[in-house]
Amino acid sequence: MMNGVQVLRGLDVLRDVEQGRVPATVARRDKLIELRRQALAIVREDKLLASRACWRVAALQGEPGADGWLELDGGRLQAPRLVPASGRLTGVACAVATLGAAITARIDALFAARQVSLALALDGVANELLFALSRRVQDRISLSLARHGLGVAGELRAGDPGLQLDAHSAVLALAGASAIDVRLTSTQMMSPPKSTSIVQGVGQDLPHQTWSRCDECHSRERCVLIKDPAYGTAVLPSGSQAST
Amino acid sequence: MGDLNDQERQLVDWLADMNEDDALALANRMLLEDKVDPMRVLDLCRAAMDVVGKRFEEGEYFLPELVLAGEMLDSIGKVAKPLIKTGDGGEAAKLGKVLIGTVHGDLHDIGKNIVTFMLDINGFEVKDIGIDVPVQKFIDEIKAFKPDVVGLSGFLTLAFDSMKETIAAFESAGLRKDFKVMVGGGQIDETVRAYTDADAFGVNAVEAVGLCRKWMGVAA
Repeated sequence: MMNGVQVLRGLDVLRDVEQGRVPATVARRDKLIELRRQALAIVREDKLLASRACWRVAALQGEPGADGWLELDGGRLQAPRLVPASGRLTGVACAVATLGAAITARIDALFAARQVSLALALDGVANELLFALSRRVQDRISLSLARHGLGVAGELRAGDPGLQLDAHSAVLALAGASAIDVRLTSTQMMSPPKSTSIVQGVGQDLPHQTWSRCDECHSRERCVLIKDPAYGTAVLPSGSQAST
Repeated sequence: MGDLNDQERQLVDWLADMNEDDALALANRMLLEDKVDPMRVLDLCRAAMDVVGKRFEEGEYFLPELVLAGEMLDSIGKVAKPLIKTGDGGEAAKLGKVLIGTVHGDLHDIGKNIVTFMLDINGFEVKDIGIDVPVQKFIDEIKAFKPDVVGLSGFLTLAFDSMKETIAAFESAGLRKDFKVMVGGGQIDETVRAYTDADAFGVNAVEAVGLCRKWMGVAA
């Protein structure tokens, strides 16, 4: 199994967002649709996007321990949800992705200029871009693992049920986040702010997961993202091996 | 705010319904041609914002609508406020002073920025001291600005420790009794309020405005 840090730079996730490949911010009014269009134009014309990501598969050392502790090459995580009911867990894929700092700086500048609705639209677009980047990274991970006859199952972020927030430093270390200049603050927040981390189980014959990190989200009932047609295609089913 | 005539009711309805072009045109006409008292127009705007806030709380409107309505009020205010100055020789009094910042260790600022904007357009003097604010900076800014309300923003659960530490430092500095403290952020609830020893919590900008209005004795 591969175990070096893989780094991705310059992925054109703006195109993914513009082409509707990921769930979009719901814009119910013409004014909001126009603001989103302006925000996308700002990102492209002012070259605000400095997307980069890194990931690494940390091999599991021995068997999963009690309470879901996973001893990994380079660190340890307590992630009981990643322990499969069947099949064999061979490692954990940890990834970190960021849009860079420029887009946040522009959002702040728009707020300072009292262009609040445009700032909000740009923040929404940034979230879409981060979603798209996260998807691209997960696709890359799945594709790479598929070449080794391995699949992925589960998707967690530090702070989700099943993965404590204080695991974040271990996740970033395992992913090699220093390679893309992403760090944590004292409250475990990633800097630059428009960044995300991903933890996935890796193994053979892993079963389809029966849970989602969204299951216990208090916003689930009114979440517009999960109602978006692109949502279903944006999330790889558990245990899948990417074909794209 | 008393009975509304047809024109006033139309302005409130257009603002509340996000009919921006018509609402701004009517407000300008009322202010610049009909010479309606600018304070009356601003009161109508705030009445419309109350409707918007209610629709937001009921789930009919979302954050973008809340902000768009705020920007409409802001636009009208830019026309109305100079007229108030001309009329009575002084700028309209602020309802109170609010100091706001995101506690140390936390870089989230969208929510704080929206609360700042909404407080501002609702008549408060707001000083936003940014993100990742050290405890001592809060204390220094409080001594200089003398706020009626201090707002602490934080999104991540570990930011609650920063909030608790910051509020405890207000107490140690002998400042705590001088102002109210509200906390806000994505995961805030009564448990967090009690843990941090804040006076109140709010889960969105509408609640933050409501808290400040209540503390300043402004009728809802």
